[in-house]
Amino acid sequence: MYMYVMKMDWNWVKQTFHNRWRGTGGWSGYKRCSAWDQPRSSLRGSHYFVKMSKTSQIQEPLSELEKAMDVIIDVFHQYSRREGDRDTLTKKELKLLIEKQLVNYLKHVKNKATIDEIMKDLDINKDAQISFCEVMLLIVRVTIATHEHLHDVEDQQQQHKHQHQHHH
Amino acid sequence: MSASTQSTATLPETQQFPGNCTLEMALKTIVDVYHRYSIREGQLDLLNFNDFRTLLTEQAPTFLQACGRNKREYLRKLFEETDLNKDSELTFEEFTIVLAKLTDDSFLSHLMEGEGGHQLQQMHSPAGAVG
Repeated sequence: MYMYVMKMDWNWVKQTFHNRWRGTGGWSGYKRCSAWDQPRSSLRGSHYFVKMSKTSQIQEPLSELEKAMDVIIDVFHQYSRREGDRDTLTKKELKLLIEKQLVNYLKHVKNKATIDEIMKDLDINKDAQISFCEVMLLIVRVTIATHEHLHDVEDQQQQHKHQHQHHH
Repeated sequence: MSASTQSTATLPETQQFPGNCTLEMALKTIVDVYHRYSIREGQLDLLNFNDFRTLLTEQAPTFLQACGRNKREYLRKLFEETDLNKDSELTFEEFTIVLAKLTDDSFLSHLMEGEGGHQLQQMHSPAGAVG
């Protein structure tokens, strides 16, 4: 199954994010804040944040999906703030994140890419730093692999059950 | 079950995937949430438009409320854009496009909150662009 991940058309993923991300409402709706278009410093001045902060003042319990996304963001920050820019990962920070947080995923990957290769793959704008947008490529890859794996496990369990029934 | 030969300082190491690491558990949660909605209608592993709309309404209300995204046309457009092979169903891979948007939105709002109150005041100008 993990061969699937390596065979996956990674260019498709990158392209898809570049193109789709700029699509509906989410990005074209407020023209000033596309993380892909602008240098980071200008993000802080956009109107987008005024709206978001007003919304986030509503005290509602977070949904499971929101909690999971918060975890992803927290984990990213735990490593990004260690060196240099607090919101991007250096190669060293990326290595630490992968080795500590994706240890089980890595164990199952057959053709392990080195950290160098992963870094090169993720660093789209070639600034030797991995921004949150860029690390999401890796997160998505692992999430898709997780999904595939859980289906494989389920299929194996079904087959197992089937065999047991035949024995009786 | 094989015994682990190495030990990490902070987390118990497991041989299974997804494991006990915080990040991997969060990703497993995302997969579980996806399935909870994909099984409701039609094919068990695919999200049709209704599943998709219910998922976002229940699981990502903040995302939808921000900048007027909770209009039906937005969701319809988002679905069509995400449905790459145009079969009116979203596979998990297609869904991850939306997931990435959600997470990045969330990240940007965290960035904002992290700056503190004084930045908010500076930004208070008529937000005419969106609505």
